[in-house]
Amino acid sequence: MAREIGVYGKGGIGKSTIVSNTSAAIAEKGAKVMQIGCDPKADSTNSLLDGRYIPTILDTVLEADTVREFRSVDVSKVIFEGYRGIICAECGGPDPGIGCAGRGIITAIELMKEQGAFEKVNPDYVLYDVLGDVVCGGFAMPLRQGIAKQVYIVVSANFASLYAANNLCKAIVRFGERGGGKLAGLIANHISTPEEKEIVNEFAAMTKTEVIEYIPYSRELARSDLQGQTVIQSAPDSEIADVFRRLAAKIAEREQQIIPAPVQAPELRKWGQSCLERLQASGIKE
Amino acid sequence: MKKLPLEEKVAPIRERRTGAIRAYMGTARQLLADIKSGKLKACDRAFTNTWTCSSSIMAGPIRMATVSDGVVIMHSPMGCISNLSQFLAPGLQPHEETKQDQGGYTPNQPATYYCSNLTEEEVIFGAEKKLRETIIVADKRHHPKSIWIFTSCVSGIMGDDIEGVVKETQAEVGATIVPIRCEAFQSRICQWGHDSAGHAILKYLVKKPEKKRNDMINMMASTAVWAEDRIHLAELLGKVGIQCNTVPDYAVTESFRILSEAACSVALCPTWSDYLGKGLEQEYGIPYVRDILPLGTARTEQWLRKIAVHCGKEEEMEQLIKEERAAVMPRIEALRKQWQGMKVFVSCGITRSLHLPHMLVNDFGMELVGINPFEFDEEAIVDLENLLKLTGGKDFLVHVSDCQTLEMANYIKKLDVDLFLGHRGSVGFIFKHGVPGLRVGVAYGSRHGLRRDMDSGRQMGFSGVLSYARYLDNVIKNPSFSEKLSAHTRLPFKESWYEQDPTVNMVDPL
Ligand SMILES: Nc1ncnc2c1ncn2[C@@H]1O[C@H](COP(=O)(O)OP(=O)(O)OP(=O)(O)O)[C@@H](O)[C@H]1O
Ligand code: SF4
Ligand SMILES: [Mg+2]
Repeated sequence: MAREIGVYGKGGIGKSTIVSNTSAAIAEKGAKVMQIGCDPKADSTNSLLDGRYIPTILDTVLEADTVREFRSVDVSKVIFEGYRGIICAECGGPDPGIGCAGRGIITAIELMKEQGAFEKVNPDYVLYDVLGDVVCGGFAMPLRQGIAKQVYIVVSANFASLYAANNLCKAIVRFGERGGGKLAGLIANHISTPEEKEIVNEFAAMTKTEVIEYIPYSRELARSDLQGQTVIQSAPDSEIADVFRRLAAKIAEREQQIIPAPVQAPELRKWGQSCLERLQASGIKE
Repeated sequence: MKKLPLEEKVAPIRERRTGAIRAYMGTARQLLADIKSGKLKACDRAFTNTWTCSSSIMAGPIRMATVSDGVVIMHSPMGCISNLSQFLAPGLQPHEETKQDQGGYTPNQPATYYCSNLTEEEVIFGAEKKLRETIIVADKRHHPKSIWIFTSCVSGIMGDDIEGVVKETQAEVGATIVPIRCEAFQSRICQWGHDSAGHAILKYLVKKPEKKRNDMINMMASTAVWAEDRIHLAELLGKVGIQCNTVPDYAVTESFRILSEAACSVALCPTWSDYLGKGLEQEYGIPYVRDILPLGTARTEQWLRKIAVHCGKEEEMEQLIKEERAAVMPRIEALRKQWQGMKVFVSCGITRSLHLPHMLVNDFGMELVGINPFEFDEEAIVDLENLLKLTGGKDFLVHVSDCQTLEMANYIKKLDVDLFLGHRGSVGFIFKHGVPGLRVGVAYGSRHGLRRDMDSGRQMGFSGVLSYARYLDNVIKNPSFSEKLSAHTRLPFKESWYEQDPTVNMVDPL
């Protein structure tokens, strides 16, 4: 049975970077990994593919001329093998500002399921890299019953990202209670100071979960990402590569699946204010 | 009057604009008091027997498909157009007279309508292109004067930019494109669809008046007002030199354009024309007559006089009224003697439930025991007050419900009703309870508004009182239909239901 993991978090927080690097670190250990980008941008897997952007599942259905063809397009055409045999797929979706991207994610994942794409690959891990907030039911698809069982939320010490994480917790409460995905933990990104660490820890405590790894700001990581590679591939001996190896090992072991306790918005804001003051006192501009 | 926001893309929902409700049980006085004090409770339903779609039915693909030089496009998956297919599958068969009256629908000309037939792919990637193509194809094939676009729940959720497509495409087609934005899930009041249509007509079709015409009025009536009535009233007014510009059914595109030139607008179905009538008043200063309908002799008189004032035809009108009255009054007097005190219940859309009693009580001497309007709102307060005046202050039951037969069955036998006049959605059910009655407005059987024999379905105007009396006479003389039917029918409800409170399913607004 594959371990199915969904990674959520505010837009631009570093989800795709973290998911790809983690996939690479898991694959390095010899496990079979599948990474699915659930974002119309379709840029999740490109650092596993030497910067290549692959055609998407929804691109292929666009080629269908009839409704019947639509549901029987061959999705295997758009499933690619990347770094260390990681299986890469992108859901894709409409151009910005048109159509219904959420419905697109639903359809793309349904198509892969219908066609047995997962059975064919038979992966040990499936990682879903999902767009920003859960904006509508479509983006919650990987949370629903039978898809991602464990959810990690990427956060930083930035209040907006914690606010988004709190909202995601609400979605997890909804689906978790029905047997859908549950929260496995938080991954903290861009953590450079003790204050920042403290803030994400406090948030974790408030919502009854834990931060499983702290990823510092890393120029190496940013550069590598831009070049279309993971640090596992481009700088295997770097410190940051080890951070991802540690993260991968924790994810591999971690069994926790909880229903988090989201905080009421006013309370969260009040707490956010106190964080800001703390950060300012320590001389960091938030 | 609140200003109608014509600059917006979508008409405000009725709940918000007119405080409309779809459920109520009480008396006329209680309802008025509750509305005025703002203490309306239990005016929606947690369980409902019937429902309809604001867009695909009420906004009017069915209606606009009768515009003889127009084409309808429903921007939706196929199911949303099925209503239209059912109504119009055999093709339109308007009266010869309708055709002459309204500008040229050829008999048996099929209704022209398209569905953009949204597929899963289009829902994901957007269907603006397909809508655009549909418009262009429709224009090329039919050279219509107007293209009516109706939106649906799905197009609303995907967020297709309908107005944007219209803007982009308008220059390429000969027809005027009229986008009717009505995403059915927005409102609990399906009559909101009428407003969506009115909103779009005002925004996209009505032109700046070139001249003001004292000899023309706008007669606003949906299919629910039979062709017989529309034609009869137009003839009547024609006698004093007043022309009727009738919309929407069987109108031509030009009829909508010149709405701004009329001396006044009269509502034959105030529910349908509420938005359009008020919009014309707001934008072009055209007086809107909604409180009086030509149902019953007294009201017909008032109605004609009102129109005469707006058209400056008072003298001619008095003459006409005199002649028309003289022809019918003696026979009506005789009927009144026969029917005096008969207990009547009217269940239908606002037009009939709040206005037909004027004929029943005033001309026939019947006693109003209850009404069942489909919805109720602040606009209808005056109508209900007028009914209370009509009954001499005697209170009566008001059950606001759109053919909720479960609820009606519960109380109808307890009410002691001699005659039940109801919409086809409920009347059969009431017959099965052994209550004599008739469909409120249709004579023998065939599809309303599209019948061939002229005066049998007539209800409005002076002679309408007589033909309606003829119609009622059948069942009053011989109530055996409901007697026999009820004797041989097993009703679906448990006996215990009749002991229960009929309002159990009514809840505060959802
Ligand atoms: N710890 C880090 N150190 C330096 N740069 C980082 C770090 N994490 C992410 N980045 C950089 O931040 C940018 C955004 O990251 P990424 O695309 O992974 O975010 P995302 O959450 O997937 O965004 P989106 O929601 O738009 O998909 C990328 O250029 C990435 O290289
Ligand atoms: S989907 Fe919406 S628009 Fe279509 S028929 Fe149903 S309620 Fe009406
Ligand atoms: Mg991303």
